[in-house]
Amino acid sequence: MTDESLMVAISKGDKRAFDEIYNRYSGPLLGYFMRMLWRDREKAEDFVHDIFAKIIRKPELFDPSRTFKTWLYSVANNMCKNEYKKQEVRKNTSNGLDESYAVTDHNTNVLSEVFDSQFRDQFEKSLNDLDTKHSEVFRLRHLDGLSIKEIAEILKISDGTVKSRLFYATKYLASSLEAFNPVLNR
Amino acid sequence: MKKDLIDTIMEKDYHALTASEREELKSFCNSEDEYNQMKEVFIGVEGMSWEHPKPKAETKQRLDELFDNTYPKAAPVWYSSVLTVVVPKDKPVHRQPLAQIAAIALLVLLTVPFWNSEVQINDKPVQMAQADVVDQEAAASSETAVPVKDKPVAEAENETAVNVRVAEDFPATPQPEPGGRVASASAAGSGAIAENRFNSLAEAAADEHPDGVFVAVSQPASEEPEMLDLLTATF
Repeated sequence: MTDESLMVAISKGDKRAFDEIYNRYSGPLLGYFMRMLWRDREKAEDFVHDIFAKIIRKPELFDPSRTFKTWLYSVANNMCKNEYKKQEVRKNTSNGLDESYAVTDHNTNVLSEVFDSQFRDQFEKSLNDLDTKHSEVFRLRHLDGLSIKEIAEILKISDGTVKSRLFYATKYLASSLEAFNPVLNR
Repeated sequence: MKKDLIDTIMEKDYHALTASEREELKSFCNSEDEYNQMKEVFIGVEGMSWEHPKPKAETKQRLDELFDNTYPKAAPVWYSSVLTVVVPKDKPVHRQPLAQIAAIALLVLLTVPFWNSEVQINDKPVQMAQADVVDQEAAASSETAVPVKDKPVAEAENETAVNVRVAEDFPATPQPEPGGRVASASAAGSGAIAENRFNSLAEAAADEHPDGVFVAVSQPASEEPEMLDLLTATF
């Protein structure tokens, strides 16, 4: 079933439909909130609970004419903006990838694992060095799998702006990860 | 997800780009080297599997409680479970059990008239067999008994009618009473002998069949010329 049809079922009290929606989006949303909320796991868990609670209490807020994924990330983005306003301070406590945000690699070679670990650390560091508007676009595109059009709809910006920010972030990462080109070329 | 410019970069070499694609990328990369750099970053990031973290089980439990409180379950009604089985919503109408049961019941009802007609048909051979038994017994009781086992029923019935007519053509001859006895009429003319013979046979048959139902014995006309004359005179 599509996400949109599941939402219609949830509005009618179908528990299985809600379980399916939760299974599909709880993990990606937790990762999104962790990235956006300074890797605060507890706060990210609370935000995941709040967004799904909103789906339970007011499923009619979702407009069936829209794509559910886009709508969901729009709501999540608005929640993060509200949190920023509350905090007014952006914490940067990232020292690399969070343990729960693992990057899997099927290569069991020890040297390769070390190389990959270093690459991941540098990648994350470079991504965090970018300002939020560029890193957010890059993460939404490559880590959450959203299209340029969907990102534009979530962030309420134009497609051209999304492309511009995306390519800027890409160029920056390419230059900072130049030393790891052999890894990128695998 | 629909393909966008990023997917194009990851899939195509610089020289394979169309004019419109190059025009679109013009503002982002000015040379083939920049294009290849970006392509490497995109491919490298896409090549890594980013596993999303999983929320705690407590989060799901809290949400389940909230869902149950928001959408309380109605008390199950016995017929709702039955309806769920016989009329499942996820199946087309012709595959629902209730529709199939109704179709079978309709077919059975349509065959009921055929059941009754078969019973009526089956009764006739019984009646014919009973008539044959009567013929046999009548033949056995007469002096010139001739097996009537093989005699067609229609022929036997015709002879019965003929014999009745014979009795009516001789008004002096009383009609057979329910008791089956027929008094002998006074012999007159050439038909007297045949009549007497008929009466004797009828009397013999009546003895065997007190209810008056009897069938005349069939005999070849060559052996009974008087009977033949009588029959031909009648018709």
